[in-house]
Amino acid sequence: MINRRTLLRALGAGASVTIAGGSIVGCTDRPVGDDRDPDTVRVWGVSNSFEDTQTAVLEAFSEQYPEIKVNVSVAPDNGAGDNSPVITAVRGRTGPDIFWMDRFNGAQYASLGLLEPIDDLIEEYEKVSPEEFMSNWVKFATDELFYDGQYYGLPLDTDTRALFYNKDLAEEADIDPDLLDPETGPMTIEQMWEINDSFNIQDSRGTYEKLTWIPWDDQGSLLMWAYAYGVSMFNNESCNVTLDSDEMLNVAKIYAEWADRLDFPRVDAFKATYQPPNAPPSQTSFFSGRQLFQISVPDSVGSLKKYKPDLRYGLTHLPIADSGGEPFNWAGGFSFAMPKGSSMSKSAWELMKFYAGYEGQKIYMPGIAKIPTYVEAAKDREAYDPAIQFFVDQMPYAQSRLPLPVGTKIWDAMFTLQDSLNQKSQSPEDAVTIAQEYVNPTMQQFCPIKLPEGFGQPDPNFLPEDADNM
Amino acid sequence: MSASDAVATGTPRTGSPGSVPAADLTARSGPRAQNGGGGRSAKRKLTGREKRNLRLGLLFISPWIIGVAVFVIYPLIYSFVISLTQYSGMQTPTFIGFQNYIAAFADPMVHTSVGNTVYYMLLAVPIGLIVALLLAMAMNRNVREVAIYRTLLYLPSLIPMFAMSFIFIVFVNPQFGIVNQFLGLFGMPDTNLLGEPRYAKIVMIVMAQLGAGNAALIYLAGLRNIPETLYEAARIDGAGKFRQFFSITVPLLTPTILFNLITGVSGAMMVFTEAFIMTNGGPDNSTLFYMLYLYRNAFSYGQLGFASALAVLLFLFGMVLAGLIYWLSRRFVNYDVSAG
Repeated sequence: MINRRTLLRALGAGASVTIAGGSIVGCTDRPVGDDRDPDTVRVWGVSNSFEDTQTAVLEAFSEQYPEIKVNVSVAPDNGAGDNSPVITAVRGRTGPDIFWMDRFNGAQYASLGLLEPIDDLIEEYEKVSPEEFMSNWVKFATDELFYDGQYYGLPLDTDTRALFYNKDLAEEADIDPDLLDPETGPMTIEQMWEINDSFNIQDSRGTYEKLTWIPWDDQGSLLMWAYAYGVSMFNNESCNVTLDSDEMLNVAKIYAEWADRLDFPRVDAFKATYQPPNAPPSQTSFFSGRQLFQISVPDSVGSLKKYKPDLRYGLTHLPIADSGGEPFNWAGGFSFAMPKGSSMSKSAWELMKFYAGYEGQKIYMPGIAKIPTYVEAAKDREAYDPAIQFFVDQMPYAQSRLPLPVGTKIWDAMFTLQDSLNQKSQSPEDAVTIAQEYVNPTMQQFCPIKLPEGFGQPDPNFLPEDADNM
Repeated sequence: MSASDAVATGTPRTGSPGSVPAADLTARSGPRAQNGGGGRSAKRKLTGREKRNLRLGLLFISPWIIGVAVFVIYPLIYSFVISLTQYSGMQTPTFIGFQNYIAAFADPMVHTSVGNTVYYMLLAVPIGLIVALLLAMAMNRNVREVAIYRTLLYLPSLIPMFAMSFIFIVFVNPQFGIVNQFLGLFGMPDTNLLGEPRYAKIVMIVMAQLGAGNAALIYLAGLRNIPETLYEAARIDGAGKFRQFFSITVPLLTPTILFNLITGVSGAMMVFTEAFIMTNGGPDNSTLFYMLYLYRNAFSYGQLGFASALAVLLFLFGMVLAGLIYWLSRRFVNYDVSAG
């Protein structure tokens, strides 16, 4: 039996343990903020494959600023929306002064209180307004780093999407070369299906040996097709996510037909055979000449150069919904941001500004096959790999994902929605409702907020009519 | 003594919960009687030597006391406290009462993840118990090269789960994978087993069996604890191999089975790594296990309060389940060998 005395004792013991544990855990004196050495900058840099290019940027920086000491370490990539490395480091007071961050996470990290706003640094060291200073970068990239009236980082690279095609297979399929020429504008999705119906090769057991295209492969996804059909996913007035709108339902229905048309399990078996999960970057069904089209990013140009230099391929626009329409595109990319506990010193600011500025981007981009976000660099043909020119030309049509605190949740909800349509486990109607219910209640915790002014509008620095002059 | 006698000797103690033998009662009341008549008021004061021993003893175990306090009890209490808040891990927590718990019960994704985890547990644990027992019996053969067999059978358990996950992805490659080649013999078409909601969990359940070596070692210890004389007696009485197995081995192994059952259940409730690496919860959320969803809420969505509520619920569920297993175990566990 538990009597009053036992209960009080138990509570007392619990409280002492909590206090003792708390003081041991919290009893760390690692310096953060102003207590850090202002002339040493701790950087969580880019992932392994880009390290050489990063070293070149930092060497150039050190030449200009010999008094600033830079400590670089490679932190696990947080691209998949997994914040654990940075959350744990910041809580453990071992976080960096600046870190390499997927811009997609910007608004979400800011809303969690993980980042420091940089507006004060801009005003103090650059003597201009944050808006004026940030206008040096592409608008959709700075939009992703804007949350609740403040900026939380400087954009680094970006990427757009293109339709890669295998020239040998295109000839085999007897496709009119004009159709693939970007000059004649994008193909329609319907035209893709026409090619598909005459080209796909299956063996006697029905297993695909060669495929035309897979709308959900690589960078193709339901989310991307929602952009193609012009679906809006957030209502700025009501502060509601709108994943269950009629427009989204329409795209979901179209997508479900596609999955059915290609027989999803057979395509899945094809992909898992020629490009299993976690396969090395050199092993893809496109590289091995089994897939005619692939929707991908500039990185693939670099990978092709590295792993399959003899593959004859071309690039063209993403297929669009209606014939005669404008091309569409979406872009992601990375940035540098300052997490909580950063020294926010002048040295840290100088490094971040140099890396993300014209000089840094001009050194950094050509080596990694990415597009600069610093406007001056994006318009300088020497500031990026000439092999990705087509992607740079797509900039006028690009928009970023929604910079919302529920960005990762929207992403997950859209891929769950896509999965349930692929597997036919839900009807399109139920699937969009589930997606909406998954995200919107969390969104409401952050309301009222609005998307950045002019979000989704063409960037004045990259208008479609300028596309030819870039 | 016959085989059935050996089993029968265990029955009184393992019978109904109330049937504690009289001798035990006497033994328990003994020391109290010596201390001056029993009852709570008559507490004996410790002598100086005993006090010193106690202090020394506490000092010796203090690393563990501190370890448990800092790494188990403190996080446990802290988790409960933040489960009552809305907390991102960075800002000041906002107290919201039991709302996270209410949200957890209403969240369809929690239902999905609980369903997946229970499905995994109901299949992986019993299969694991049987596979481990079979392994242990193979390890227990009386042959000269048994040490080699033991090593070989235990070897897969040494591979960490994350490495095993990568290996298994190759095993289930639709065309070249050894598993798919085997299934192909029975006419199964090329299928991405990890891409089909029906099969993805099954792949993980099968994969878990490669770690059965740990449980098998514990079984092995249990098997070697059973006196050979019992089997000899059974053989003299004409009991066959099956009879010996079901009437001697299984009953006397029940404490080990109980141990493996509880560790198996707790392991299954926390299944995470393979789903995180091989499928990331897909396809169609069919491998979205409870821990994976909890992790996602904490570190992808920054909803640490909600994730803590999920953790507390898992803890409570685990406690209830362990209690239930113990309660049931009184009906089937036989401590004769260990007691004797």
